[in-house]
Amino acid sequence: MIQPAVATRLRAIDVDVHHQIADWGAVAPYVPAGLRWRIGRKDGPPLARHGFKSIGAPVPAAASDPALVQKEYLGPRGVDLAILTGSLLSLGVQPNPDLAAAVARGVNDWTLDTWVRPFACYKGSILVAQQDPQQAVAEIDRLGDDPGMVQVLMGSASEAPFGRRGYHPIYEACVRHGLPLALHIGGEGAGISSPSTAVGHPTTYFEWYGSLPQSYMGHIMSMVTEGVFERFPTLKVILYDGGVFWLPHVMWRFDKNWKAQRSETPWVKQPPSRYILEHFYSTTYPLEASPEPKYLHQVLEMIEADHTLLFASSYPNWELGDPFDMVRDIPESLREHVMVDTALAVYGERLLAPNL
Amino acid sequence: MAKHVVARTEEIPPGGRKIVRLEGREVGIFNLDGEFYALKNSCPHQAARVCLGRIVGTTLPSNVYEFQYGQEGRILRCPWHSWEYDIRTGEAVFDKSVRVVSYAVEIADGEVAVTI
Repeated sequence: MIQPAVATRLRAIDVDVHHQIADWGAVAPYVPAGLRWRIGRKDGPPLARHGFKSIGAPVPAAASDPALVQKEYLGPRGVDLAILTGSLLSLGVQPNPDLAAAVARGVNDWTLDTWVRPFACYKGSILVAQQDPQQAVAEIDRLGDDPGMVQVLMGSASEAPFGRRGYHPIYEACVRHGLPLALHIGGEGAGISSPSTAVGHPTTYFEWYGSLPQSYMGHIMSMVTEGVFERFPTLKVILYDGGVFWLPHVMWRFDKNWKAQRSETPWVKQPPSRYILEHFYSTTYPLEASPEPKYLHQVLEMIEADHTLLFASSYPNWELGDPFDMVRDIPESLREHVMVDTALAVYGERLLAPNL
Repeated sequence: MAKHVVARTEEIPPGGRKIVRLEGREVGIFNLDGEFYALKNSCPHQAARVCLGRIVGTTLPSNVYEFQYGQEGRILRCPWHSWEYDIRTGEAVFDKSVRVVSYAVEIADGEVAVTI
């Protein structure tokens, strides 16, 4: 267990800093030799993208420099620890699974060498490309016990819902190494991904971004009904950038239907909302802007935010507002939980262990 | 508490049921392999006439991706929303604390009696 004295010294843990790759030439040496030639010196590997791009401010160059992020963001804002989530959220829907796996491996080692090991304030995510679960598992096993890595990261964009049994070896590997699984929106609609909404591809970035929680709805329902948490009772899943107001709808629609339809999935032994509240975590960026703080307070109670909500800045992508403003209306009684305690509970001792 | 004779045993063969009206409420009497059970004809969900539902079996709690069909003939499925109840106890399969009201049944001299 983490010593309370250590925990109380912490002011904020940010579970979502998108460190950027400014020069792929620096990453290339870490990519396995057979596919290193596909990593361009400046532009990086060929990556299938969706056609949506924010019209907002460009990403500041600071996000590609670990010392500058520390100086310009972490220090002034009082963030003691940041978990790095990078910018390759469509890797799992690239058509070429071998190239995707090689890029993931290269980026992971580059992140460790460039950001994590030289800086005590950063922790890394083991980025995996789930279209080939076998290679994803190998990558988790390769880095799963590195004290600098605190979670496994997959884009939520996918070919199929994440409850499907083909993905289960990935969850087994997470549990084997005591690592939470982070899902992050961003690649929806790119490459071999299914359309980002259930009714097809959206038209604009505005529409695309707004509808992204659909991904999580699909994945949550799939993971619960396919018994992922019965098979892996210690698995924790973090849903990045999805908001929270839709969660009560999913939980209670699901619970209601389960009473009548449980016989189809007899291994789902608890009401679905129990699995959701025990295994899933949400992040504060971008928390929905409710017109009244009281609405937010009600929803936070519904989702048991005292143990399910993590502070996340999504730095440097602040097109939807300042992440510290977004947590302004969170009740004082929840603040410590959201800013520090829940992250310590989710990630455990590894979060405070020295980076070797 | 009053005891009501509601049928002769041969009126309700195994797998059969009879709906009667007792003290202003409907009661379903079921014969499961020679054992008789009585349930209030009202689903605790939305008061549907649950005793008119299909008598079925269901999948038992199991490991992931395993299917064990059992309790054949012991499960009453509400005709409105398909909630499943164990006829012997009135308890819902999904949560034993949700239950159809059940009544004590006695068999004597070939007569079925229900105590309300």
